Amino acid sequence: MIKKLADFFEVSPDYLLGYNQSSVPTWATKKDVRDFRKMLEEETIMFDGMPLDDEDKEKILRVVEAVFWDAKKKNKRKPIEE
Amino acid sequence: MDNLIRQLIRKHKTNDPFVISEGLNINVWFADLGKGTRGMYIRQLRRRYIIIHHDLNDHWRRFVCAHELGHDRLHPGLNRFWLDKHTLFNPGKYERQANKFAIRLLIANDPPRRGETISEVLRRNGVPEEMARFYF
Repeated sequence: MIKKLADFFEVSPDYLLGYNQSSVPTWATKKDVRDFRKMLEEETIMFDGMPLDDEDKEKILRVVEAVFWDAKKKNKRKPIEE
Repeated sequence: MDNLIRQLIRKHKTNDPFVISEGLNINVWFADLGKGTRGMYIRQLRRRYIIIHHDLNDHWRRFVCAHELGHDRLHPGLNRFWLDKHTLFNPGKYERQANKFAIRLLIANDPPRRGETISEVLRRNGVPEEMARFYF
């Protein structure tokens, strides 16, 4: 599955697995990262039906990632200091 | 739909889609969405986001915000993710509804006068004229 996702977004599997992962904030817990990967898998299924070229797909995926971490942060009971 | 819009305007004391979105606790962001996409609506972890392409001019930003707000108000629970691409112009039922919602909201304070064309009403209210065919 990870391989398929990586192919779809044209990134390395390592990137999706969180190594070299620039978009994961430093405050993210292991569970957060698990949720993040699950979200990516779900969103990928949705992306499949959309007529987007690779560049657009990449840009939109960046935004979706940023939205996920923003929502995650806002949902934390304790405010995160950065 | 007109009733829904009236209520929104009464509650938020404006028809400005940005102010209404803020009042509804929807996050509005500007971002690079690439060539084909003007706006998106995303529900993520119980929070709502409107993303508007940062290259759009003010009139289009306002229209896209109102359009995404339309998804939020008219189509709750239907989809967590609306990507408005060519769909703005080649739309299905839900995109048509969101377009109509956007137009009606944006012209609500300055409705059509006698003998006026729809294009004129839209121009007066800063709504992109290409959207005229979604008025009804």
